[in-house]
Amino acid sequence: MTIPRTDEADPYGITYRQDSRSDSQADERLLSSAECERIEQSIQRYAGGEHIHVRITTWWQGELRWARNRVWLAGDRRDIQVAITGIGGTAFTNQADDVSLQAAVRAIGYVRTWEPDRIIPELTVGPPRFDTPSPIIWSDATYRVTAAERGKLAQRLTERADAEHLLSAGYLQLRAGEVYVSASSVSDARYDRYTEAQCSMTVRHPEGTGSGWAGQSGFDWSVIDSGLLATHALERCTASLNPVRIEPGRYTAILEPQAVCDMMNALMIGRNFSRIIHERFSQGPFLLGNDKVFGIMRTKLGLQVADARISIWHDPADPELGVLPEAGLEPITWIDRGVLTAMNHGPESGNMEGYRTMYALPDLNDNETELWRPAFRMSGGRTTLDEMIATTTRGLLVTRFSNLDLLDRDSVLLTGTTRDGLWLIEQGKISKAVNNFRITESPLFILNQIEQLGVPVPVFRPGRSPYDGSLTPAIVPPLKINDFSFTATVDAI
Amino acid sequence: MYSRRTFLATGVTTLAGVAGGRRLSATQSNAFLNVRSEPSVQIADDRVREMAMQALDAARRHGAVYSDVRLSYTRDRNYRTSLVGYSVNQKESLTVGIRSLVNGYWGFAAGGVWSAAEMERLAAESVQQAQVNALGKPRPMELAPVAPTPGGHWTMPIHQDPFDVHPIEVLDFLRSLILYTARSGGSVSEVRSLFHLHELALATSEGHYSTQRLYRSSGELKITKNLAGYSYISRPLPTLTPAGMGWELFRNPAIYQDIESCIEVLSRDIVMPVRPVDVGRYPIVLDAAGVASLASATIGAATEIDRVLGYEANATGTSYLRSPAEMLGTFQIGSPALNVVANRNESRGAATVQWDAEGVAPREYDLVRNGRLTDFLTMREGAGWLKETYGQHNMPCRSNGCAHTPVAMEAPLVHTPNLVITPAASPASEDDLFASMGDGVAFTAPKFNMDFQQSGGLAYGAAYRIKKGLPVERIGNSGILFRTLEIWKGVTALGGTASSRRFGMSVVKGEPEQTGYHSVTAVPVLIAEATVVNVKQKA
Repeated sequence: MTIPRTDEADPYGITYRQDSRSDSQADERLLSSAECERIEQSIQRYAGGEHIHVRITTWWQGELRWARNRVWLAGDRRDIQVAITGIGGTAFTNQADDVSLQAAVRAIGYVRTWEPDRIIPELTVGPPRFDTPSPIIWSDATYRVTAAERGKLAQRLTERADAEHLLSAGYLQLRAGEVYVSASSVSDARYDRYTEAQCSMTVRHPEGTGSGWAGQSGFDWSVIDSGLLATHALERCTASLNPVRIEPGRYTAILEPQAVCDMMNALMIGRNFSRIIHERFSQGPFLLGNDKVFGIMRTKLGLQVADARISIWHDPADPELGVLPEAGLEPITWIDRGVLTAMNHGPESGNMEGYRTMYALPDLNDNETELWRPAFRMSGGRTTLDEMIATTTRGLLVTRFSNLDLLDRDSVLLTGTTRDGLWLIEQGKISKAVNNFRITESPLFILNQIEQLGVPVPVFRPGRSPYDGSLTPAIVPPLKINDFSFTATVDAI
Repeated sequence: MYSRRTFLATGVTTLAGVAGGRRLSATQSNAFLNVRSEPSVQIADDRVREMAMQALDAARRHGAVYSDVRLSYTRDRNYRTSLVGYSVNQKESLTVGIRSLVNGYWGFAAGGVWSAAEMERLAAESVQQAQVNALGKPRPMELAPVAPTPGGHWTMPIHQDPFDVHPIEVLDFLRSLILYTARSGGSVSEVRSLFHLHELALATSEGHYSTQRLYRSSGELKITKNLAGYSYISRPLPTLTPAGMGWELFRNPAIYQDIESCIEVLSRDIVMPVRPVDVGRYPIVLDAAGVASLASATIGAATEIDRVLGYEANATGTSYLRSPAEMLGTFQIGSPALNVVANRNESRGAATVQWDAEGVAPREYDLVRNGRLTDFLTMREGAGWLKETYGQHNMPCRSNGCAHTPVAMEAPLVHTPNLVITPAASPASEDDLFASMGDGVAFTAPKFNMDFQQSGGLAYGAAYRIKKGLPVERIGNSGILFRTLEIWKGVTALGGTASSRRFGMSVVKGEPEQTGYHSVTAVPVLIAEATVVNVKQKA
């Protein structure tokens, strides 16, 4: 795998680390590999040689939510989920006793027997791989944070807002989990552990005249600087007070990394990179058109779809992008110097050059192409935010977006609003806080309207449900975009 | 410790029985799929109550001044079928959550094991979670009073338990809908049905104990109409939104009528000319589905007291309603014709319960009367925040019963209850509203993209130009760009009772996220003027 480079001097700075996981991880919060194997053995025994996939995950989560400068709810939760996928469906249970497991296996077998020739294949869960090292996504620092430590931290964070007569609301979550997956027998199984930490906070003026936000997520709690987050949220709140109303229109926009990630999240989902969806439904951002000679739909593989400075890839060996093997086993580059270089297909299609098999997690609602959300790194440059501002005659600095919804699947046109800090830049300086805007814009547009790129940094991108496994981090740069479309003013602050 | 085996080991000895453990019988052929032969958890079993009391006792011993415990058993069975294939996914989960209060601070602990030992551990953990925060700044808190129910069981009245219906029958019936649609002139590629059972036991340290068996069913059936193989339009069947119903949501003669109505509309629409939108201000008729979504987003979410007071600020956002003391009873949300009633006890409502997640028996109450804000959506703590305000308005300080937990694994939050928009006294239909409007624009089941304070948004979806009271052409890519107060104040007429329809919807909120379901019964409305925009037009 060649790490794609931009024309600018090495913006990546990747340093590969040694696996720092502790040998003494096992404790009562998570199932051990041996315990998972025993469960798996029971399942395989009940399955009687039937071809099934088994996924066993246990998780623990320490949580703390605060609002109005006081802790609101502190919690400790843990659970197990066993997912047994066979031909025709998946059975999930959070009970690992023999009776429950037997019932689940029977359920899957029963589904198969009704009308075997009509079953929609559900075996999309990736077979475990043994030739890839375990990812570095475990942190003792995350696992060992106690409830008392979380409480003290929240007090420190809220005291600062209290002192400035502002209101802080936030959320702190520490998660640990294990995922055991097997294809057909215990000997074909792998077991991985992960941790996840996230901290985010919103500081608002009591009169609702200003709002600032900051957040960070990753597998290692020790690299999350909650004090710095509090500082940023406070500063942004203060700087955003009493916004001035300006007119909507096209502005040069400096998107902070979080805002870039918010837009990119809408692009980096399964259906946008799914060859099958593009071809079957004649729909998708990377659909080229109908090839009448061969009678097939063509995709844009190999064509320029973004600025040549843009590459988007994932390397499981990248220490900042560690994910569970089920979320990405092999290095992949989706966009290389602006050229679309990879798309996904279902496992039933076999290996095809330029396409990468997408293995979806078992999902109760079969929404695999919507839920697939990979970790990714996006190339950047060396321009600092200050330099971007200094070189802007008139533009807007965007902290992040809120409630982005898809308006058009083919162009990935989105609508939503800016949130928690929007500033007008005039003559190279931030001149004032301005009202929020509704935006109507596409991530594909911004990838083709880049004026300047900053240094990529990890952004706030926490994992979803703890049953889904580890987080899928993203590392993106701030971008200076020409002609970003701000379509209407928004009253919300 | 994670398996029901633990429960078997400890529960048998300490509770003299197995409340949640399955016993496999010789006749049991399929536990997930044939509930008649599957002994599922008996939520009303006294041994479940004993376990709950054990948890409360442990929390009290560890220092909780108040605690509540929820034990929930959930089952899901989701079908997906076309004429050529099918899949069935199933899920069961057994969870317990204990919430404890110490010096105004909440602690919460939850897990997936029902056993005596686990009740003790979770109780201690929840108290400890509260205690470590209680060492800090004081947090005065008052829970609104509630009359506890010392024991009660309620089963949501449904016609047929969807888990009692043989899956092959379900699949056959779903396929019959595909065939029926085809025979009626439409097409459907796939039908989905989702069935959810939630059995919940709740005990509080104030003496409440109740058990409930709740159902929710929903589905997806998108009908497509083709024209000469080139163009097509499609729309989902609106009747399959989430509802507090069983198999009868599908197995209902009305579904055929709904399919035919849907095809009729599609047949009319596909030959209708499509024109680009002329951006401007127009009179608008919003259909009942659109009004339901608008009410959910701008009245439901916005009146949730935790949003109003900033408790959701770091998650889904706050509200345009900022000051309960100044706004209650006086703030004009909409036109005087607008009346919104909240409840959690209507038949077939997606949020319907007998007791909320804190043991409050919900009642019907006005949320908006004559266009004015008359209450907020509260649970016990939130009502306590409003004690002074309620007192100033001679209103009792009591919870409105909006506490909800999707499963016991999650802590209760305020969720939107069922909402009912009071129909007009006149028997106006949607067509009558078109006639009243004369010329204007009509929107059908638009989607809403709101800002993070529900103060405004963009509604977009199928739209028609109405001329002399009749739809004459479709308008492409159109939407309504609106401010919440302006659009509700612009309502000049509402449909009558016959035009009233119920729609189920889901809302995600909280950290960690949780999903709540509710119904909104709404009528179409005529809005004097609104801004119609091209939603795909950039600045």
